[in-house]
Amino acid sequence: MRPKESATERIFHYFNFFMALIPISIILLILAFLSYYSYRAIIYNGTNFFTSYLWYPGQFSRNPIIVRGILVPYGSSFGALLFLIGTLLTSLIAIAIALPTSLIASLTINLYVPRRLKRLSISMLELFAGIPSVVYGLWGILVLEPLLFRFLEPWMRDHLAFIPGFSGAIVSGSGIIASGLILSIMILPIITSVVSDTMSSISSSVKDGAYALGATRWEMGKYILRQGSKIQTLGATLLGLGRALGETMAVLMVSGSVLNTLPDSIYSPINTMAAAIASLLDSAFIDPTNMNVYALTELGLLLFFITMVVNIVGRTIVGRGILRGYEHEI
Amino acid sequence: MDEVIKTRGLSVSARNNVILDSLDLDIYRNKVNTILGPSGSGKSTLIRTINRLTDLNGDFEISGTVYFNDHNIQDMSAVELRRKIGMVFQSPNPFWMSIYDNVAFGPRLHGSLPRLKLDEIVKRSLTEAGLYQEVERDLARSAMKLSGGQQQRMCIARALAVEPEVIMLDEPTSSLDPISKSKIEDLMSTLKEKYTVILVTHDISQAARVSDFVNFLYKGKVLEKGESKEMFENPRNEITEKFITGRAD
Repeated sequence: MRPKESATERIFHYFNFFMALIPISIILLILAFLSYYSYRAIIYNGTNFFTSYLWYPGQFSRNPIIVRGILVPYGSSFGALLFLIGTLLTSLIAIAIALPTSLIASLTINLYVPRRLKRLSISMLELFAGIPSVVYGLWGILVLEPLLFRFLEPWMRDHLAFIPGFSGAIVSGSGIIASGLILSIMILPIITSVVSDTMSSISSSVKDGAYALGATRWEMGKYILRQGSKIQTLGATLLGLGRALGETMAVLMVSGSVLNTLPDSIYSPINTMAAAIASLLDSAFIDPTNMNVYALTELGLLLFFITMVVNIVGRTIVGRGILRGYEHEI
Repeated sequence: MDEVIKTRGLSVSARNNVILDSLDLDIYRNKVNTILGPSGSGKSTLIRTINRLTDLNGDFEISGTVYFNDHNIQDMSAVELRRKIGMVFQSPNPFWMSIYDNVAFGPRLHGSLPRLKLDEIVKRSLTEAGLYQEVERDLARSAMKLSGGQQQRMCIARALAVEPEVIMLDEPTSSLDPISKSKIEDLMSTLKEKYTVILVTHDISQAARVSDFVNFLYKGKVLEKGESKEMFENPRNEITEKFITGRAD
């Protein structure tokens, strides 16, 4: 039987319950706000939003017209395909670079770095995550872009042109490669810290078990640490992806913020959903029908859904069965 | 008598704590050699020094010599040494793979073998560990799904799969139920026909049941060593006597 609760305890209980509701209410409120602001755009854009890459604000000097019962600027079109492609492409490049780098970094930290330095190297890495993204962007413009433009991109075009998409005009350093690289640096800490934590939480009796069979350090890392952290690596990658998808400032600074032109090679400038919202919002407010703002909100709603799903799946996976069958040792 | 492993003046310390103090031990071929002693007497450190798992942790300082077949183990490669001297740990430590992959782990490390040969090794090792009949149909199942006792016998099979000369068992039954425990104890008498067995235990009755030779380790020193029967019936050392009669602190 439950012991009787005193009045204070009961008050405290309800207070806690109320506090616990706050985060979920905030998410629901954001969702409500996004839906309210974007429903007109959803009706107006229809599937055009996903199939067209043309984003025209319309001519504000001419009278607005009514389409499907909604007042929109004359000649406006809101196709998000370019931003979708850009977001996907830059995030995938970021993952493609960050994932192997994180795995190697985590293995190195767990296999070769002395115990005392281990903690230091992890906290150094986590410091990276705290650098404001505008600083990454600045570094990207001042350092990374000239390097890409002068050295890396010409080299890639000369030597890797046989890969589809690797031949084409190099206009400037900004674009897909710069965005992907910056994003990879930004998501490296989160992936590495999750993977490396998981690897160090693997029971030492399992590690010793592999050594006792004559495994070298590297073999132990490859078969025990890497295999044992597989699921968490997937989860961490999704968490990194979640960050890459939504990253705005740094990408805005190095993407080239192109509109209405699909990339024709990996050297092309690009735009992403997040960067487009930030860069187009200012001019959107001039639209007397507000449709430009609504359309950007629709973009925001889509981004919200995508990152939400990726993050939830990522978190669920990371939190699952870290020790797998070795729980009794905690 | 044929000694497989000899330690001469073996001392181990970690962070200025002496764990083992100039041990002279002999491990005899095809016998069950028991290292008996209370918790904290240095038993585990001793066998970890023998297969050089202590190398992996920079804290240990080792002096004296361990000979394996009359070779100083420091002159051998650690990988080669650990292949020849297998080890089973205190609690079962299956890898998160199938039973088959667990047992094949060692052989795969040491060279690529044709599938048929590997199948044969897995079958032989599991049979020697007395587990084959129970898992014959489930070799592809995750080893994590086995019971604790089965897991431990699979770990024994895993150690046997690389065809070691010596197999060291570090309190192998301490986390198991009585039935699993007696299965593993029975196993030791068959294992010694082919392998040299080193059993580390603090369980006096277990030591009495299975050992041929006993080394009584106490606070980092060997207080008494000899044939099992003689030591349990006629301990010469006062502390040994206290321990085996259950009066030790």
